[in-house]
Amino acid sequence: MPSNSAKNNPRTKLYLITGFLGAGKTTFIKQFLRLFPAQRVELIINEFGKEGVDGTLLRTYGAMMSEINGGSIFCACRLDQFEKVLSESAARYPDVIIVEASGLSDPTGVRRLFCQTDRFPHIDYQGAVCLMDAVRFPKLYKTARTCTKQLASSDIAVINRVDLATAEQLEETVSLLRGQRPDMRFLETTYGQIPDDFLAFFSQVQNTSEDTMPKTADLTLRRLTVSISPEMTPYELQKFIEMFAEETFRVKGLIQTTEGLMLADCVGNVVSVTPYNDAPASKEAVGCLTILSGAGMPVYSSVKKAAAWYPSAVLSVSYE
Amino acid sequence: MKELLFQTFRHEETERAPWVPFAGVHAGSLKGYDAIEVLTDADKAFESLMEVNRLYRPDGQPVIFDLQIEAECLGCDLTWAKDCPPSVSGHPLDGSDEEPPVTPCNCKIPTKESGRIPFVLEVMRRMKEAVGDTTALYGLICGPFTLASHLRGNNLFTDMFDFEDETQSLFDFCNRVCMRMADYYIEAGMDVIAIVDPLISQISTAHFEQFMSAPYTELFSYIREKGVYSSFFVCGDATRNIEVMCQTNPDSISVDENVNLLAAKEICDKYNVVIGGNIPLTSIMLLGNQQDNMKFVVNLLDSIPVKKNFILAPGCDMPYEVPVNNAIGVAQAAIETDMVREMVKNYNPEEIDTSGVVIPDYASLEKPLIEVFTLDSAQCAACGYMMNAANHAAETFGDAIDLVEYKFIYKENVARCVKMGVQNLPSLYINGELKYRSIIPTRAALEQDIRDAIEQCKK
Repeated sequence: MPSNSAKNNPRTKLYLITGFLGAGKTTFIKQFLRLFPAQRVELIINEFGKEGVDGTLLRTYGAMMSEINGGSIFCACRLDQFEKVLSESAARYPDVIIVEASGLSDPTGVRRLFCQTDRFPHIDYQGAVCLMDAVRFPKLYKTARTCTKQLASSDIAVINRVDLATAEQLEETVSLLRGQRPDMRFLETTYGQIPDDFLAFFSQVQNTSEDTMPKTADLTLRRLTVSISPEMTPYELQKFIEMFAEETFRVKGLIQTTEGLMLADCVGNVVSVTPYNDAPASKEAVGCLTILSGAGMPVYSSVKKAAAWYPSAVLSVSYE
Repeated sequence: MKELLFQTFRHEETERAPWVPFAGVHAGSLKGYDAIEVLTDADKAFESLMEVNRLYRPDGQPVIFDLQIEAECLGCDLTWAKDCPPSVSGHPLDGSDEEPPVTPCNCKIPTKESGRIPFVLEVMRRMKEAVGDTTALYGLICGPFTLASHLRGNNLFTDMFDFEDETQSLFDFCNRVCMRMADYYIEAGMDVIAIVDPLISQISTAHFEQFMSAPYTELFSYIREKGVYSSFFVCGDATRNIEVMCQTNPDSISVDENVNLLAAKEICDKYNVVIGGNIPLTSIMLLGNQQDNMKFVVNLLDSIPVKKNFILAPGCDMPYEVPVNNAIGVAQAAIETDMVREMVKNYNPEEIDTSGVVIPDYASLEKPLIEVFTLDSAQCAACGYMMNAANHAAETFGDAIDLVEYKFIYKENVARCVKMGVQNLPSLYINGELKYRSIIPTRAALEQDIRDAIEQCKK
């Protein structure tokens, strides 16, 4: 049965926790739980073979835990198992749901799910935290594409284990983060510890999520322009952007497609291509995608490679 | 038919695309067995796979879809679930990330007697004997990268950075495991050896080329020398790695819904590699209705102008709970495409205007109303049987009941199906209540239902 508070205001806040295997997600969650005293919290865990969250701690905070069967933890396309557990959790109308994404799988699908507001109408998605291990991150970032995808899907970064990292490791971790997500707020910590006002980070995320493209000059930003032919279908446009989205922090453009004028918009790596019914500001504004990325991201070569998949539809790629 | 698939592997143009349902644990659901039963009990697995063969009429069919078979033999701990394959929860080569991974001795390579391999081989032999003349059988092997991650755990990704030689050595060991498994499965009669490596989508093209290009090239060449066909299965967004996968020279690759199949096919055609895919597992097969499945398949098939170098298949291992009617719908669309195209030409869920549909006031009916929703009872066999059952009842009860057939080939009936929430065809409703879905009722059962409804109307 829902609690009294849930009955009166049956909305559940949901937080997504990402980060590679061993980045300290469990330790972080133990700290994070303390920020919700006297609230009904549910935890959804999607990982096997790791130290579990302490049962006593869960009881202390009145939290319930669900696990997701992991036979298909690799599969971004098997979100149904996650949705099933989430629906069960949501049906109990907790105040808060915390989802720990599998460390090895691509969280893009989970992130995308919460952009579809009709799927879980009484859930308020608050944002995603990406845990980064300051010691291992520079190496993992080069070998595991998941790390890039996890950062792309997140809103706040927590660089963990800074006490164990050398100055060079920490500097490189920050520089990689800044390179991919210059827009992202981050904090450095040990043992997953977070300040008491950590939840305020999320309200800032929500306030900025509707921002338009940054207009101020920033020397660390790279701005690419891609010219698109009206022969492209909306599906092709979507798949084209997905090929490099994770290396950008913003993609936007009004594109004439085979099915009419579309607004292509991508923050992090969640790509949306939707019909645009207003009149465009100018004719020049139509047909160009603007791509913003941080320093050090190989976005130009990635966009060129993606363009090779759509040779007749992508007309040109150039730096502004 | 098997020959159709072989023609495709030989890069010949065919009259239709071959169809290969990846029914792993889902096969068990057809006979009421859970994933554990169907992945450990040869009788239950065989019975379930035969049901897949009967219902889905495949040209090719995997025998056991479990990427943990080899890992289990090599000492990984498994956690079992009833609705999906087991997952690896303990990694025998796990340890400090400051120490390189240890390559196991070749003496550890699984034998025909290890773990569940005898079970797999038995099911393969029985399937070969039962349907091997008409259906191409796929033996599935966990690919070297995913197997290495099963063995080593999460350190594998830092190993690739810190200990390149030792990591390559571990991959090479895993590749030797794959070759040995291929020997066993080919000997058991498998026509196609599929190497399934989902984690390939998680590494960069550069790392694929550094660590995986050589092992995979060797592996596919080895399978080819043995005289059978090969396939390279990935899942997730493997778009960037499609080209380097083709360069390892498999006979085919198989991708899921994350990949733009048409664009990927152009890349594959360049290398003359067959591509298979990519019916969405969740949004269409699991959560869609039968019409969604038929429509998706017809559109996919129609988008491929030349019937060559393409295999119709789900994106990956089908979810356990895929409704049987959805997969039957896919099979029908694959095999009788022209007929199904005609059936679903008016079906477009986003554009259906249901405002003109008047739903009867079921609670106030004077006599029972039997509504039969069919694709078209003249064309679809199951629909014909359902309609016959209703017609027999109409003869028995005469004027005491009303009977109407709604054929899905007409636009207004599509709208009615949407408004009534009809999920499968054929379906039979009495007074607005779903009574029979796909299953044709016996005469006695339907007559009893009607007598009950007559009583209900009198009240």
